[in-house]
Parts: sequence; structure tokens; C-alpha cells
Amino acid sequence: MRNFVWLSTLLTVGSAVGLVVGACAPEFGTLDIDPISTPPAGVTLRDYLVELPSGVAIAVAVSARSDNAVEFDETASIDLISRDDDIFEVYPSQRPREFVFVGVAEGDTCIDVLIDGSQEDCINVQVEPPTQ
Amino acid sequence: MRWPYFYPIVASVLLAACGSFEDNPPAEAGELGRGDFRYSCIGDADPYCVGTSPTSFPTAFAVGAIFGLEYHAEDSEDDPLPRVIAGSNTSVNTVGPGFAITRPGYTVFLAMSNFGEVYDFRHVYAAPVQRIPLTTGRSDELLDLTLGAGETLQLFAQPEDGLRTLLGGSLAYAWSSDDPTVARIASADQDRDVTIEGVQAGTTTLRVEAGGYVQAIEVRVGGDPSDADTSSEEEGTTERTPPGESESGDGSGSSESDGTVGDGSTGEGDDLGTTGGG
Repeated sequence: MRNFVWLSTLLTVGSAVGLVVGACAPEFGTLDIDPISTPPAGVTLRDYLVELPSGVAIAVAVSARSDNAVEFDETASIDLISRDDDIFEVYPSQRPREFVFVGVAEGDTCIDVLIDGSQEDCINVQVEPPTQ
Repeated sequence: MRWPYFYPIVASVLLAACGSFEDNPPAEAGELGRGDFRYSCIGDADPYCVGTSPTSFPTAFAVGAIFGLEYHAEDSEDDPLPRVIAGSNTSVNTVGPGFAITRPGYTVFLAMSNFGEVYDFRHVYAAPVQRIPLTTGRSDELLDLTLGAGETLQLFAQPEDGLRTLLGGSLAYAWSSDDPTVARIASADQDRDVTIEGVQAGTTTLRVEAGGYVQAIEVRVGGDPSDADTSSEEEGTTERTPPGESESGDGSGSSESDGTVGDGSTGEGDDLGTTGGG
């Protein structure tokens, strides 16, 4: 009986500690993508989808949004990597958390989102035919 | 007593000023506002260039035409300057130091830093050649042409899209006369401009092909140079050379591409006939 009480206490304390520790770290939810240039043709920027025509580029600023109450701080590194450079390219810009998206050729791929080196998401990309 | 260095200094200042104009080719700002993209001439058939000096930044480019772009950053410490690359190698060919856009629509050019970052970028628009008005340089578009026998006339081709926008970049031009015994291409070199010579009385068709499009214009040759007359959309001044002062060409009469330009067909468009080869 004493062992059972001791075990229950240990589990309760452990869970509480786990909750506290877990709550102190942000949990990736979505990537906010905001345009900072005006492309000559229609571009769609969503946290789950990027659509742009082939031959068109757009500069964007990104920020990671947490699913819990703890937000990502500004020191968290965000890397974006295209799964298929023949369809879509992501270039870093000269400022942190700014990137340039380029539609290379018609097709579908996705952008890997890495937060502090950890892969968190892959945002769908559709590169459409060139606009005329 | 006059200061002996006055005139040399004035001359140097004037030369420097002239030089500075030459060193500032037409430019368009990058879309991130960190510098500008400067246009440069490649080849000698670019309507936006006089010799190798660009006159202005083209509004649009001809598909397949060759041109150069450089980027100059406002405050970059990069040395050398950011290099310009095409954003899509499926729509742009690199031709020596220049570029050639291979399909219509927008194409982005990126100014890359030495660290693989995009410093700036700019979109340009490319369109297929859909018209090639011919002018004498000072006149508006010629609708037909009348020459005297032995008379020569220099003509310029102006590649345009369907909206009559002059298209930038150097294209390859091929000129031909359907009947070189009536009027012949007198220029040794076939370029954006050519010299045509009336040979004997008659009527023929002059054709120029560029960017897959063929423009044709009717040429009438009278027996006497005084028969010469040229109509244009707006009457302009033409530069004519009387017989005996013609630019001598290769003397071969018709051009190398006589009858083999474009897809070989002749439609019924503006003027005499036009064909889009796509």
C-alpha cells in the first residue's frame, strides 16, 4: 500500500513536471508567409499552399506560429527548402526570415519548413504555366 | 596673364561629363529597391541600341532575342557586383554574356550576392514578334515601296508585338526579294537594316523574317529614278541614294534565305502579307 501511494505521487509529480516543461517550449503550428514585393502576376500565399506562375518571383517574410501559449522567439532559425528545385526555388534574402520564392517550371512540389533544424511541415507548392 | 591650365581643365570636365553619360546605361530599379538593373547591348540588331550603346530599357523583349543585364547595388560591399541569373532556366538561355528568353510571358532575373542570397530581382516581359514594320529610319511604317531602277534605299525592321510595342534584344534577320531581277538586297550583311536596290522595272515582294515571323512589302520599280515614291502611314522623309552612288553589296541579288524564311507560307495580314511562324 505504501508503495502504491509512493508510485502515485511520483507519477503525479512527473506529469506535472512534464506539463510544465512541455508548456515552456513552443509547438509548431503554422508558418505565416507575408509578401514584401509585388509580383506582376497573381500569386497565392497561404500557410498550407503557395501558387505562382513559372517565371515569377516574390519576396516574402516568414514567421513561425506556435500551437501552444509559448511563441517562437526571434532567435529560432527558420529554413525553407524546396523539395524540387526544377519546379520551385527558395532563395534566402539578405535579411533574416526573408526569402525569395521563384516559380521555375510548371508542376507541384512542397517547401520543407525547418525550425531550428527540425523539419516541421511541408507546404504545398503549385507552379502554374507562365502568364502572358 | 591667362592661367595656362584653364582650357585643359575645362576640356577634362566636359570629357568627364560626357563619359559619365556613357557610363550610365538605361536602368530599371530592382523590385526590392536595393539597386538597379542596367541594360546592355549584345549583337548589333537590337532596336534599343545604337551600336553598342543602349538608348532605353526595353518595355518588352522579343522571344529569342539576345540582350544583356547587369546589376548595380546601391550600397553593396560585394566585390564583384551581384551577378545576374535567370530565375528559370527553362525559360531563359544563357548566350555568351547575355540572355535569350525562350517563351512569352514574365521572366524574373535575380541579382545574387556572393553568398548565394538574392540581393534583388526584376521581372521582364517577353512576347513573340507579331509585326515587323519597315521604315527608312525617319519615316513611319512603309505600306509599300516604289523605287527607280538603280536607286537604293536603306530600310529598318522594327520588331513589335501584337500591341505594337517595340521589342528589345538582338534577333537574327533574313531578308529576301521574290524577284531579284526587279529589286535586290544590296547589303552584304543582313541585319536589322538592309539596303534594297531597284534593278529594272517591275513589281516584286520584299520579305524580312525575324523571330519566326515574316513581314512582306510590295516593291515597285519604275524605269526611271524619278518614278520613286514611297507611301507610309504618315508621310515622312526618306533617304534615297541615286543611281551610281549605291552601296555595293555582294552583287548576288537575292539573299541567302530567299524563299525559305519562316514556315514558308504567306498569309494575308497587314500590308501585302504576313506570316507568324510561332
